[in-house]
Amino acid sequence: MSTRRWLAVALVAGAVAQAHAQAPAEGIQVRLSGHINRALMHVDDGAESDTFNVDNANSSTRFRFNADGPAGAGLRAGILFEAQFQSNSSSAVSFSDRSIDAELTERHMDIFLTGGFGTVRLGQGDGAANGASEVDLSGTSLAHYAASPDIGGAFQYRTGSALSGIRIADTISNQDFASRYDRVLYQTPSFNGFIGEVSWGHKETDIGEIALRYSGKIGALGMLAGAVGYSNAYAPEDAGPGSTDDKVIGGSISWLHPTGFNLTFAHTTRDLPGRDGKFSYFKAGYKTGRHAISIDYGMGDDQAASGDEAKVYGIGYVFVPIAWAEVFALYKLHTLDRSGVSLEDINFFMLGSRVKF
Amino acid sequence: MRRVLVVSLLLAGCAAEPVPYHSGNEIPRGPGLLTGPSGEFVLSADEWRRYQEWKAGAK
Repeated sequence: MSTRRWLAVALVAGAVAQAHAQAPAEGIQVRLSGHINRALMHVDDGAESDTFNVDNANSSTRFRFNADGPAGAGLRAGILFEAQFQSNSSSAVSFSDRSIDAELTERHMDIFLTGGFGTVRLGQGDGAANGASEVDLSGTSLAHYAASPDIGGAFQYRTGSALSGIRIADTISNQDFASRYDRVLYQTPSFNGFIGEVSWGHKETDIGEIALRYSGKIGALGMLAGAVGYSNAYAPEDAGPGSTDDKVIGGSISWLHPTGFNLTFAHTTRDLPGRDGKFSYFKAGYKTGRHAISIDYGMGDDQAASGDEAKVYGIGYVFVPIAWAEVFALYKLHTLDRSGVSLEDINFFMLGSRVKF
Repeated sequence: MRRVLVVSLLLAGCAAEPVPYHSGNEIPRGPGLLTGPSGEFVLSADEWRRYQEWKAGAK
């Protein structure tokens, strides 16, 4: 074992020893991993342009501890702790807020029990449908994927030289259900590649979610993955008249042919007061060896206001020069059509790298 | 749209080999800069015992 590896073991061992002053129980492994994901993002909104040093929110800088071990009767139990630490998140910076301090935010604080019956999770983590609109086999989701506001979502469209107050994120969200929250989740075993999930928990209000996922090889046709989901964030019991449940339904599907050609499609619909907010997304790509490239097109209708038509056009590229590092590049254009207002398009160019440690 | 998704998924399941899906937006699988080929710092009872032996030998 190399000195470097011993040093790594010593660091982890030292931390654990501080807390427990004893070795892990037989059969239990504690694992630590993470990555740093940084980029330069150039933005031009028609009146102003600048370059930002950002954390790529497509896959934010994060670290993770996880551990599991035998729990008797053929069961395994364990924990998952994952937090993100973003300085200047690409989804949060804007011309009026160019520098945002890093903060540690929760992703997963989970305990779980798994066996032949499936898996039960308790704590902070993915809801059953989280990510169901983001299934993507293109190999370029580090550069761009269905959640386009992860890059530049806080920037506002301009009317001439004035900011309109309309943010990209409010007009073309992929409406990916209820994300992560404090919940109880049950996941079925895999049935020929199909997995069902259901969760119940609380964020601002009570939330129920259900999803069906699939992933598998389909012979000579390559690989197919997809998911459909439904979430309901219930209106608070003490909410005034007119308040409604926040319901989202939709899914995504992605196909990767053995030649490297790939297609991805996503669609979600969200119940909003007096209208349905809709999102649709198409992506076509090609990946070979260490390279992956794709073009995408997304539409957000009636999300921020009735009649809104937001669009995003993008081209992304990911290169893997070494096994633990990826380099990515993105160009994309956001547009918004709103009745009675003339809004400038917003251009983005981003170049960066994700390094797994 | 939902019908297309459900039918596609069901058809796929009829003649498919399950493969776990790993999102490209999560921590990547594979090696790490510091962690080496495994991509993870791993601490187990066995690893702990070897570390203690190495530490004792280094004194």
